[in-house]
Amino acid sequence: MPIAEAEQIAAWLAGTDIEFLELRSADGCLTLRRQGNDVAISREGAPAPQEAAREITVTAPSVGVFLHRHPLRDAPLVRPGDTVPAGQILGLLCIGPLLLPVAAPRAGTVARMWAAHEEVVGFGSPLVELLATEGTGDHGH
Amino acid sequence: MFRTVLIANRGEVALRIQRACRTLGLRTIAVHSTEDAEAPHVRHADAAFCIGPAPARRSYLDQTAILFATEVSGAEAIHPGYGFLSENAGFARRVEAAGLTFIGPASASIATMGDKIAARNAMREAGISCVPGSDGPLPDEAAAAMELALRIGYPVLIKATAGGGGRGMRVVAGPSDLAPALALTKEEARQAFGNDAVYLEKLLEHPRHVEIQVLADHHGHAVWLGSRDCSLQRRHQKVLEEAPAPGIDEGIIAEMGERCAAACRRTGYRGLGTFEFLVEDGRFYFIEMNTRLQVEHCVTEMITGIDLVQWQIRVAQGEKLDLAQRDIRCTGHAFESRINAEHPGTFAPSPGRVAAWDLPGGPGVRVDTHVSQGSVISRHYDSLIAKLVVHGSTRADTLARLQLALDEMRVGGIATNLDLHRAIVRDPDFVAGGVDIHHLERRLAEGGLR
Repeated sequence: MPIAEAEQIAAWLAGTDIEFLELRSADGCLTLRRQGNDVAISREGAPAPQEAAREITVTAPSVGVFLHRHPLRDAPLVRPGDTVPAGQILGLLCIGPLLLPVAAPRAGTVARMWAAHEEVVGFGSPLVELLATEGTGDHGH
Repeated sequence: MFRTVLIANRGEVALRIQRACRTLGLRTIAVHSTEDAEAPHVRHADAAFCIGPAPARRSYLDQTAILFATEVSGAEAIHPGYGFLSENAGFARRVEAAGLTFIGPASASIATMGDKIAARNAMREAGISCVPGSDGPLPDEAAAAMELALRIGYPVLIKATAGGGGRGMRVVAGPSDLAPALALTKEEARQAFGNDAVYLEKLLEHPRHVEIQVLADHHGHAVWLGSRDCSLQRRHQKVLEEAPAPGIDEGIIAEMGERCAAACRRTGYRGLGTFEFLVEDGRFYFIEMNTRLQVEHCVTEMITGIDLVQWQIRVAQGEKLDLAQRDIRCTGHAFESRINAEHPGTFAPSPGRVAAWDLPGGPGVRVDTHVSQGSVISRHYDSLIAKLVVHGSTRADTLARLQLALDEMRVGGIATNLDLHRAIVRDPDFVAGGVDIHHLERRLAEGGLR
């Protein structure tokens, strides 16, 4: 958003009782915060592209019991040191009768398993550490 | 019979439910957003699960996330608290379908009471009167409207069925104004909403908001637990409540209470519930039923000495209500001040870190809160930070206790509505008792209560 537009919004905000406004878009995040009669504008650019970060922590999308292997199999789905393509299933989240796959967001090497087999995890719990393969631009999701 | 309860809520009510579960020897499971990871309801639970990010729609309102947490935790019952999913019939249905206990009424009861017309019909069948009106769109002939208006008595209100929030309404003072007002409102409704259907209702000019608490079990027993007055409201949000409703004949309250309990028995309602009424000139008009625990349940607990949340859970376990109506005695008076993190004047929320937190004490003083010094009040949730509840032998004594308690309470680092409460409890009309639902906004508009 051009700076002129942000200033216009800040001027409108000054006439209201809104304390805090946050606008998020693909280009980044614009924050307007009232400080007395003034409105402070701060902006952050879009998050650095994922290519820059080599270490990726895959986190739990839901509450569940994290499984390293399918209940009917003996072998784990992946082991530390394995090279995996984007989309490869790293583990499963077991919720009652449901098994939700946890997939690699990018191609890389499995660095370590953060959550133990059959560990109960919550939303956002770290599950697997991946070391992304450099130079690959593919994104899982 | 369940042993583990998942509490699908946060803040003071999550703690309130935890306490009730503990006194019954039940395990408690907390769910929380990433924002609430350090919250007291998480720290005090037997087990806690993060179910989503800060925005409520992705955590406390995410039905699937809550059901997943219930499955993984092994909880057999869900207590929804108030707000969030507490009156969501669809959620209650999913809980029932999963073979779990929803601590509240059956989903069908929630659905009936959530539909205004169905609720009014159900109440009428139970002999409880509603605001008199046309009970549906008015026919086109003005003569029918004239006859109806005469029967219910002027002034009346003409409302567009497609309107709402104060739009598409017109007050009619007497018979000579009715026909032109009808034509005008219909024309406006056609232009504004593309639908000219209008209905007619008696205009209550200075009503009070009075409610009756009920409790019913699975075995056909129901009791009522006194009245509450919640007339002090701003933009339909209750600010300060009291029990019992002052200045209303006890015989009338008892008659209304009996009808409410009878309506529960008749409809097979179970759990806690509140019948809300507008009361004008000693007459009660049903407006809606809340099918859940209410924020202001504490004032009823203070005057009856009954732990409502504990009973709500016990009846959900299938226990028989061993309280007979004659065992329920209301003693003394109680007030509840809702302390919010908000700016005086603008009423805008005031999130931030609580730098100072001094609570009042003394006989009859109870504070239900999830806040302590150093707590961070999130901008993502309701601004209620504490409920200051005071009990005493008479209304005057209790009001004196409340005045003192409000003066003792100190909150630093965030703005609060403490000063508004301090002004309300010294407002001569409020002190006299029985103000109407417009009183607070009227005083604020006059520049009073500052």
